[in-house]
Amino acid sequence: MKTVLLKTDHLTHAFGSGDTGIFDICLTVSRDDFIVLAGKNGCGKTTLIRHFNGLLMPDSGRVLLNGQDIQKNLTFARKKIGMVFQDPDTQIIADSVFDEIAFGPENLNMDRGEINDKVENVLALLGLDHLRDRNPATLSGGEKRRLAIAGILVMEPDLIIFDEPFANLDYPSILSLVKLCRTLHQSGHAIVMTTHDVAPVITMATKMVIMDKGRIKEEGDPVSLASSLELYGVKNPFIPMAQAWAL
Amino acid sequence: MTLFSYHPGNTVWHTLDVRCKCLLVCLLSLSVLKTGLPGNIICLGVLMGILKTVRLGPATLVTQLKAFLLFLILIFFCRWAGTSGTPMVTLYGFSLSQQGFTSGSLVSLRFLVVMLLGLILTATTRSMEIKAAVQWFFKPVPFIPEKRVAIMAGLALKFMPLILDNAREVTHAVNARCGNLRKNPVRRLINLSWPLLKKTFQSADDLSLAMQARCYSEHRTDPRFFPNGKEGWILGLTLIFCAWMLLMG
Repeated sequence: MKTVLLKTDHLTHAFGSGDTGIFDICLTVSRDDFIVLAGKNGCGKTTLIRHFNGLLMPDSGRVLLNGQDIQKNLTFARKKIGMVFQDPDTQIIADSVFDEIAFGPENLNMDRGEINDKVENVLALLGLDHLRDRNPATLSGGEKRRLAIAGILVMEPDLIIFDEPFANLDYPSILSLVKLCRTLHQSGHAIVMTTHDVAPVITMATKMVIMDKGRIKEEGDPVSLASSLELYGVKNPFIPMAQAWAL
Repeated sequence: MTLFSYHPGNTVWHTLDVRCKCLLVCLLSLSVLKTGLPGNIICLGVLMGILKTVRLGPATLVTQLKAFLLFLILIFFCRWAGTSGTPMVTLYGFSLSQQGFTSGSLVSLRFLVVMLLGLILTATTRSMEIKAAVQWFFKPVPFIPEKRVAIMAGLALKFMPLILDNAREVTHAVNARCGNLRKNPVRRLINLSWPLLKKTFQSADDLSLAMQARCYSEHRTDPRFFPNGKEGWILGLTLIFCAWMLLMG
């Protein structure tokens, strides 16, 4: 039986006049899930995931982490649910790679020795050891993305949320990121990834959720759902590119 | 990366304890405000030498500080024109005085020296270290929430290069659509400042979300300081230098 890690219970958050936002979202994330949240721009993917660790508060409904409402202990929720933002530049706070990774544990008031050990481990795990003193502003797009992930991993989250991780990355960086996601999933992290380019991860994902106009439209096995993607403005990864453009 | 971003390195200025660096900046800033033109020129020379060791040569400074240097020239001319005294140059019946020239040079030079001191500090010190130093300095002061003040200082320093970066991007975007051909300076200013303001607020919003997402709070692990052992010597030499500048008048 699958262990439920995170559950959203009829989550609704409307913006402005009420026709944009997310509406009545019921979603379950298990400990061994790798969920791809697909949908075109503006369908509510980012709004939804920002509720997972309390960055946004719902108008109605709730988010449960291990059965507990996340609002009761936001710090715990943010420690256990790490979020990698779409643009790593907005996530990077410090002036050196080492300090950037140490930022999260420092916020958790950990002992300095413990922080150093954790940062060293994550630097080695993500192959960032040689960049430890570099200014993050000078890193490449792929390296910045790895740094953003390192800053999350050091807090030992159970669930890692990626918001459009492939945006603005070149092909080798996408490959490297996909490999890293696979490793993280295999090492026991649940993953939720929002994307409108499902091709790199569709075979790795355990579940695909398709969103449109703030609602969940389809949910199930990623490969079986691939043919429905085009109905919601997302490219079907199994249609060759040339054929897709010819359409 | 902009001029005011942290430039990693292993020079003595990089490894010096941040509290000592802050103290040196304060001491030198106060001294240049009290000394005259010769003292400021010597101090400028020393600072240029230090900047050279952190790989920020005069060419880089002139290129990246163009706008600031133009501002200094403007201050200089305003001061020159606005100070009365012995006429030095007379143009169309309007005389520019010798005293105005000296005063203009002094004020511009003081601005430049103080700015370069700040530049050395930000280029050789990570914003986290400066934040830690601010927290340390304010800790004994009653009724001041030192951790909050420190994070504000750290964020202000973080935002300075970010705003410069944004300004550069906005300028490029405006010029790419021939915005530089507009004759009306007010219109040009609006075209630049409005998107810059929006971008800066957006960046601030994003940064605050990223900090919240990683459990930011004021009850953080206390910072550590790493003295390189040369603080005493450098502080002593700086005190002698400051005293000498003040004696020069």
